[in-house]
Amino acid sequence: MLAVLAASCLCGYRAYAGARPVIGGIPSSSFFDAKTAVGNDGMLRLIFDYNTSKFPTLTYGSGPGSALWIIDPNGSVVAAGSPTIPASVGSDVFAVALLNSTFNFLNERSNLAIFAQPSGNTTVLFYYNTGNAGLGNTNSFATWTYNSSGALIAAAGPYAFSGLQLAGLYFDPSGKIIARWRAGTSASSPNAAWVLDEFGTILNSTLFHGPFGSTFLGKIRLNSSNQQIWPFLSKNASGQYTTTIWTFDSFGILAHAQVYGPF
Amino acid sequence: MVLSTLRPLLLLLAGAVVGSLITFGLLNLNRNAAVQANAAQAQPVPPKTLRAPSGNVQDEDEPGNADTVNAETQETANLQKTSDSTVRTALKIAEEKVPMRPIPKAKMVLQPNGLPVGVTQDAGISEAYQQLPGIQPPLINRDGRDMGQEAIQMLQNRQEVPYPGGIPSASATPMPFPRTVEEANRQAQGYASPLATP
Repeated sequence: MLAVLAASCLCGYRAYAGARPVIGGIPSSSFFDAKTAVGNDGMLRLIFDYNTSKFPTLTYGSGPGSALWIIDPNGSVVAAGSPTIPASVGSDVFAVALLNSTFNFLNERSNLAIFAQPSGNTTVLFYYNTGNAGLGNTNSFATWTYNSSGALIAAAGPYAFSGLQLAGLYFDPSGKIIARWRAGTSASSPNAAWVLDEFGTILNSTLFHGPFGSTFLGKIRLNSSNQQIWPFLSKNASGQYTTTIWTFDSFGILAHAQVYGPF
Repeated sequence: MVLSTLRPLLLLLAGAVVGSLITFGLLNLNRNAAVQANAAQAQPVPPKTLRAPSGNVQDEDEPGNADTVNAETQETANLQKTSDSTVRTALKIAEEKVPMRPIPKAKMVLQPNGLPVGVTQDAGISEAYQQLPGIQPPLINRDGRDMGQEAIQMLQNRQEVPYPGGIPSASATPMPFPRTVEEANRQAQGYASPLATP
């Protein structure tokens, strides 16, 4: 009996030694999102990029842009978005990020992501760079919302602020948009975040928090009350990790903080 | 006497007649089966009206095959030629037209409350804008108008503005990670303007 207990303690200790909380990473990126989506209505939303030239350029021209199609389960197009998204919207975030390729139409050239909302609407999220091109330089965004017939029913933004970049811009699984503003280029720079609904309405915003040195913010999540949940990762001098979970109230004020570790 | 002498001969003749009839019947059955097999080869499934041009059409036109079909089959084949020609033409036209179905145009349908489908009464309304002075709420289509041009102009009119309440300096000295909620909020308030405080 004692031997079993000793073995359990030893195994348990080994299991927790150096435990590192996983609060983001490639499988849960805080940037980008899908360009296809299926809603609760079973309809597929699809983006068509109308390419005017064979090879992409950094700003992919002033061609016709991109179109949203809504396709039923039988493959029939039931609606097409109007108006067409102009090619001048957004900048080269996706083209540069995806392999920096110049192959024929290998990568997506529209700088947007879409989400099929539970209401049947489709929200389009536009990514913009200003100045330097490439990943990490996105500093503004805008949204459009089409209804189930493809008609444009809402437009918001673009939001661009001096000295701020977007460290995160994506759809939460609920369809809400999370925009994480960062003052500076370091991973530990101060952050503030907004939550927007399917129409691009800002539901709440936090104040700026940080910089916190070697403590890093992971992917921000939402609960069903639209409260932001911020996971932090810290590493002490002994190489052990601590995670701190912050929960904001629905007005964006920090309401709870809980620290775990080191284990 | 004579009758008794002829009886075996009559029986032999009757047997020959019966045998001939059976033989004839069997041969006739085989012939019909051969005709039906040829006919089946000439008329594959699916039905003729849906048939696309294929090698089977040409086989039917070959002289060897034509000899085996009866008059009814020949008549059907003539009708089929006309049908195939129509189908061929239709397919050719369809191939030239891509996509085959027109893409539906967006329709603005209004709900009983007068708002376009997909728009809710509280769309675009939020208390959060009180904490973000200067930031405009979204443009919401409340009357069913075509707001394409307005939306495109909005997207093209992108200007950097100061963040409401100001932002921390990018070169600020890192602060210790707060241990409590109060400490975190106190740190954050240092960046916030009075307007940004709820």
